[in-house]
Amino acid sequence: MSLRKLTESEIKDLERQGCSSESWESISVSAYFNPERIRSVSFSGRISIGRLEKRISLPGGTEKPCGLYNSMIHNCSFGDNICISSVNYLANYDIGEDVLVDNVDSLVVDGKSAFGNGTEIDILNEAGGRSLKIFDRLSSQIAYLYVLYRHNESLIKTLETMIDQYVKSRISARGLLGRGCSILNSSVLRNLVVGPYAIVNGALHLEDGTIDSCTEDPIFIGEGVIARHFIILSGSKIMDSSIIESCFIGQGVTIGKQYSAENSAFFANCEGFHGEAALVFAGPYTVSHHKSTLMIAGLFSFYNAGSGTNQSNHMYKLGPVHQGILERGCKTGSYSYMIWPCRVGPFSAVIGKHGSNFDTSDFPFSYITEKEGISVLTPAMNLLSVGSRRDSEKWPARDRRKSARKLDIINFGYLNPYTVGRMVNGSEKLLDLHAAALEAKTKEFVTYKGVHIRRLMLKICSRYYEMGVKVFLGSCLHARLDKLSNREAGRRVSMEVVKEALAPNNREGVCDWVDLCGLIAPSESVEKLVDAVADAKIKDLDELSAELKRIHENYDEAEWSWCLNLLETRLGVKLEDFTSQHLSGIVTDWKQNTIKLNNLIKEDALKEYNASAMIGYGIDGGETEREKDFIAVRGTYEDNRFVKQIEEDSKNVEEKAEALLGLLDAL
Amino acid sequence: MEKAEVEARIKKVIARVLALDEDEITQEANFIFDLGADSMQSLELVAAFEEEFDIEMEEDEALSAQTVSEAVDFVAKILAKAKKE
Repeated sequence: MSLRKLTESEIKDLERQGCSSESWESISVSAYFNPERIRSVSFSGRISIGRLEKRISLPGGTEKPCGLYNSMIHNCSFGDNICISSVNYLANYDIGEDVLVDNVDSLVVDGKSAFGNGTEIDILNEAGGRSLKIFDRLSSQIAYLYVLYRHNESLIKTLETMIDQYVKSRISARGLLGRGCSILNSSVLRNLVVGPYAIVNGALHLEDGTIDSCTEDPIFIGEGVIARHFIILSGSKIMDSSIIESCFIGQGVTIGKQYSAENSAFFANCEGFHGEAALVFAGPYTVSHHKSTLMIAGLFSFYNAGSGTNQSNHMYKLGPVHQGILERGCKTGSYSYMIWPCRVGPFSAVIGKHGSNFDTSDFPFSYITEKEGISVLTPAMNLLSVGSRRDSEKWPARDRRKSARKLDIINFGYLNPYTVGRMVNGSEKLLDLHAAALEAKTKEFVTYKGVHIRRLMLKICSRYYEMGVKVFLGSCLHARLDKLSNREAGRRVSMEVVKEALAPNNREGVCDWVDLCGLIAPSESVEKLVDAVADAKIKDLDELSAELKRIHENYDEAEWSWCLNLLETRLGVKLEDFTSQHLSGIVTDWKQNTIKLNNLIKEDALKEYNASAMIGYGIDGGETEREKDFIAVRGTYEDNRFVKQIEEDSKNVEEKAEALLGLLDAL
Repeated sequence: MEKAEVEARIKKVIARVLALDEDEITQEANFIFDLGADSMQSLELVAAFEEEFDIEMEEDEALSAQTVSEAVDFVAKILAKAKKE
């Protein structure tokens, strides 16, 4: 933008229109400057003003000419076609094109600021030791390593250096308002960077923060919001008098309805309404919708908090030193309570009030209920639940992130080496517990790491895990051979060709797997990455993010190498010695167990249509009205979209399995 | 094994798992509506029948037995099949 000084006549015009300046000399304007568009403005410091030609539309259908009106402005630069109106004090900002700031008390950068970058939040452990430095490129994976790998001192030190370097690059004495953003009807705004097309409307107090909006996924901050020391990433909405203190708000997050959060990090697609979060590591898709719901000092992801959910991190001994972990996909029922420390395995449901410290990480897909003061674990039950299956299918559809740069890596897979690996181990542990309890047939329970498991359920739950394992192994084998059967359609293939198709490109996945808050990865790949960071082979955050992405992109291959290893172990033969009978057995197991599992899930769904589900329907009528009312509101079981989907899945698997068996028979 | 014996043992198991008096358990009693079994207890019953008779049952088929008499028939059938084999 080419700028010039004001002419004498322009200065006179401005003065006549109620403007003043400490020094008119310090004001530069665009070659096409129109003094008509500046009225009742008091200037100080260095000022530059672009073209003022367009009109800006306001809510309600009116328009306002771009320009500067009724404001006190210090040390700011303005891009073309901005509209600044009724701002009591605007200082030290570089303001992009098409920006609207209207009816704002103060919008000021006071001294140097990193705009929320580098804020240390005391996450997970209230007594400290896991503090997270937040910044506007933070992903759930980097946060996970930084917060949870404190046992690796050199990793933490290097990560800290990387983050500090980045934070340093964000420090400035000038704030930015990105192109097209609107800041309206707000009170105190201090030390902020606001990205393109963000809308801030009615905020009460925003201080020390970055609102990292982008053109394709703007941020909205609504009425009554108070936020201090924060980062908010693209696509997020903070509304309805919510209070945010020392928080990281990732991409596509919605916080509203007076939610309050402090010292917490919310990653992609989290939702927080009504309740409270303190010291929470909320991984992707952590959702708390209800009043009186507290999340405290916990690690969550793909989590749904029932109303009144609560935890304690304090035993009135050495202070609030306890933390809890609910692995991916957990749910807590209404008024459930846990006393930390606790660790709950993936996709489990916690119901009732629990006063013991337990670790159920060996048993995914479990129910943890309470009976007369003891915590009762029923392993594998959630595998048969219609709810778990629905959840896993709705998450991908609910990814709100529209930015081209998605920071959190998310693998949505429901069955994968991380969950299925736990099932394999869980199944073995249950059989061990069963064998150990053979002589104790009068015992109702066996105990395991703080929970009680019904002795009678040990074997049956082990079988359910086994069912899940067979479904996964078969579907992976099918995926691997599908390409081959398409390629060789109609032709006979040899066993050698099949084995070639089954040979993995690498063996990266042959180990335990972990969930890095969205990224499902082989633990050995993560260890290698951690070593590379600790040894300074990975130099900065960009390289670290790229390496995390590489691990994610290798998922399919690593998953297959894990499956193949498990198949080899179970069959007792190496790939070289696989026969078509071996493969047919796996495919048959896949088909039978998928149908069986789907039938059990359908049974679970059917409960939603039985007589007790109809209680309260047909309120003033008899049996006929009850059924008619129920069908009018809920529809029929047969017509339920999800039930149909499950039936379709069974049919598809059956067809695919038959086709594959045909190919294998012809070998 | 005689069907009457199967029935007597099944009733004993049901009484133990659901904490009921044996007298309350009739042949026609529905596990859910009459005996108050929830889904978890239904599975526990399957496991208890397996233990009692030293058999293995397909859970989805076993769970389709809604009444005591259906459960008796189901178990008796498995026992008869096992005997043949």
